[in-house]
Amino acid sequence: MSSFKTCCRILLAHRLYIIIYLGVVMATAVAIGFGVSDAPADDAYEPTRASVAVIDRDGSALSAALARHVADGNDLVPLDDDRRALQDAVARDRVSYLLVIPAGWGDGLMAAAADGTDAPELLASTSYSSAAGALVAVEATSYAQGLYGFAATTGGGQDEVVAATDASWAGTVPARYAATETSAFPQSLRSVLEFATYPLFAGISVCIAVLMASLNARPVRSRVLASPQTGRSRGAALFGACLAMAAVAWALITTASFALFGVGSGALSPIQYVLLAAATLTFSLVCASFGFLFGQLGISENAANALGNVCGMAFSILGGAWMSVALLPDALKAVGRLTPALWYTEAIEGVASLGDLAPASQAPQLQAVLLDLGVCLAFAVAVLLVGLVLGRSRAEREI
Amino acid sequence: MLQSIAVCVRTLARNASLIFWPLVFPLIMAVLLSLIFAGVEDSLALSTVRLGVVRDDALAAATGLEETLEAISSDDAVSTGDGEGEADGEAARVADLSPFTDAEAATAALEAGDVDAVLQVDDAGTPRLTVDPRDASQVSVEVLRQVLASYLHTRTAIERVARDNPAALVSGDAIAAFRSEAVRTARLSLTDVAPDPFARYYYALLAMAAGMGAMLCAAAMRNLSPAASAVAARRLVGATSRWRLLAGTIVGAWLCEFACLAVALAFMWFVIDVRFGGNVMLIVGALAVSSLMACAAGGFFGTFRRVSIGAISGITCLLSLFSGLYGPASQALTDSLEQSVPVLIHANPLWQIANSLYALLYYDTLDVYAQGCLTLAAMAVAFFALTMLRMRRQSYEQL
Repeated sequence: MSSFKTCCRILLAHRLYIIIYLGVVMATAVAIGFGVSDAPADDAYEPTRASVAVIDRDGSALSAALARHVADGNDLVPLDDDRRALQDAVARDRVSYLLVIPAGWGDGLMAAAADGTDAPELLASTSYSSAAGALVAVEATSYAQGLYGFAATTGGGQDEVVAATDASWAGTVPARYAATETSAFPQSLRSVLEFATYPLFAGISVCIAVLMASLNARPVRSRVLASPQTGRSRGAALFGACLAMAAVAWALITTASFALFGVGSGALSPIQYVLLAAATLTFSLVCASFGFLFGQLGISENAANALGNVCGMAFSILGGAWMSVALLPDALKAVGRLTPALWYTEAIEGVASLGDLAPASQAPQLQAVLLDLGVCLAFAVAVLLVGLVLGRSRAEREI
Repeated sequence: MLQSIAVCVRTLARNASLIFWPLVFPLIMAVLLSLIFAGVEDSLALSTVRLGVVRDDALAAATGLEETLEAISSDDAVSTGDGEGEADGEAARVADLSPFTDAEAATAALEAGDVDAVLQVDDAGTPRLTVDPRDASQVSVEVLRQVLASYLHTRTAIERVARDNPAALVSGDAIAAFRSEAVRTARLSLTDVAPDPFARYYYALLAMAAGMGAMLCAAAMRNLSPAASAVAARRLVGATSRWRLLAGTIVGAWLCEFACLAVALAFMWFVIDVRFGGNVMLIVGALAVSSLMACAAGGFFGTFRRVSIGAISGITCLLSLFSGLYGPASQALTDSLEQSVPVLIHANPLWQIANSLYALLYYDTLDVYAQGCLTLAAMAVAFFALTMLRMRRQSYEQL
């Protein structure tokens, strides 16, 4: 017990560093939640809105109608017609679809329709990041084809063609969600908890490294090893301190994420809160075990810092916190199975979809979540045992 | 002074856990990122919607709808018909059809999760979709809606022509005019290279490595402040003037970090095949000024004896969130903050580093790049000034 207290005193003496480090990395996890927009909780089907920009160099009735149609149902981003502004918009992905209507397009289309030849080309750039831009592109081309069709068949002036096309293109295909019970688990909370794998791992293991740096200092270590204390009780006290560190980090992340992204949504049942807290606690235990292992290896504080950050980052990537696991190649998914992060992420996903299920099918889902957490816990125990064995053999070697 | 530089370089080069950050860390992460992105590129193709179709009289009465459905579910159908937005790989079919005799059976299948959406034609002949809210792939459903809308619009248009100008319909020209591909859209190329969704991650990774590299200079600085280390105590009683030691340390740390980052960049460029724009000199220039800024910041941090230099990794971890490293959510957060509070994002040195490289890739003028480099240089000067201020009263005479 007194060893444990000493460990805690050492941690307290480094409180400034620990507060800065834990505070900063936990802020990283929480801040990522603000980058995620939560889906609306009602059952109305919301068509995807794309950010679009139209540069109308033509100024005819046809081009104005096309610009209007593109903007309809999408978010129009005002854009100046100079090369730099357009480059900015595309390179920074500010618009998903950028349409440039060249001068003389309207008259050219009318003439082409009368002759049965091809209309002048439109210029467009679609974003690489989502399919929303490509969808607007199809819609715009379809509308322009409608203008051409009416110009070729009913004829008349540009205004008449626009009126006819607008009337025909007004209809939409209504869609609605089936009336299934959904809980609308907040996407932001899910992202925060999944991304927390990295900050939790790095934060806990780095803070433990600070403790280990003090304990591994040569004079301290010589005195500790010379004492009659057994390797097991030494290891237990140290692991106790690691657990205390993990508990602080866990409390920080769960309180912050639940308060900011969970409670406000009102979409979570108490059981989900309990399971989420249990999942993060389990992962925090894994982190504490790894921190303990790094400490037992006797590596320097900097090396432990490096290991903690790299492993934390790799785990969070393999666990699907950066990109969804579904997008990862199979080989990486297989590697991910060998890390605790993927099991943790699966548990979070399982808890998230718990609210969507009928009561009858909740039990197997619950079982699956508990199984994931069990595997996570097994990782923690395995790593802890390796750490204990290594610490013991290292101590024997040094004596 | 050359001697001081050589001493600094040798000391740092022998400290493997410090050199790890700017050298090995980006290599590991770049390999990991490239593995992930290879998978993401493959899985960007749209998925096929499992569509339940209610085959009743209303469907039979809707002219051309059966043909449209057949077309989108046949093997050679291309999902959006857009071409340019599609990956080169095989295109998925828009929908897989499962026929149902009545609406109840279809709804039951939707609830059971056997189909993703149900299509039913109402009395007015308008197709309606009911979508399973649990289906994550809204984009695929949107593509389907688009195809159906296109069908609906063309049908309405042709009905209108039949009313206004029946003669055109008889010859078949009208249908051809609406269905031909007379209106085309050409790809608008605004940037020298097509936007690469993944280049940003690698730039942000280089920026993070540069930020972590600040630890090099911070560690070297510890060997200069009296009472921080035994080495510092010995060096400071020597005959070499303090400013020579200081300048030597900073230049030495800068050379180390610059060399490490250059290796990391060469690895990304030639092994991972990341695209870099501009000429080599400009890229190397950006790297030089980035590592100078990191050294200056690290040097400033190193003057605070009470805080372990490991805290730099925590701060870099937070700043990397705002350079868009951690996946799409962190990029969205960075971009939206840059729109609303640009000062906040522009004050992030890691964003400036990533942005300078990004500017070289996308803009045909150098002003954004120059602006980024100048900002970094100004930050370096500011950090140097602060370091000098802090070092001023830390000689033996003052203690």
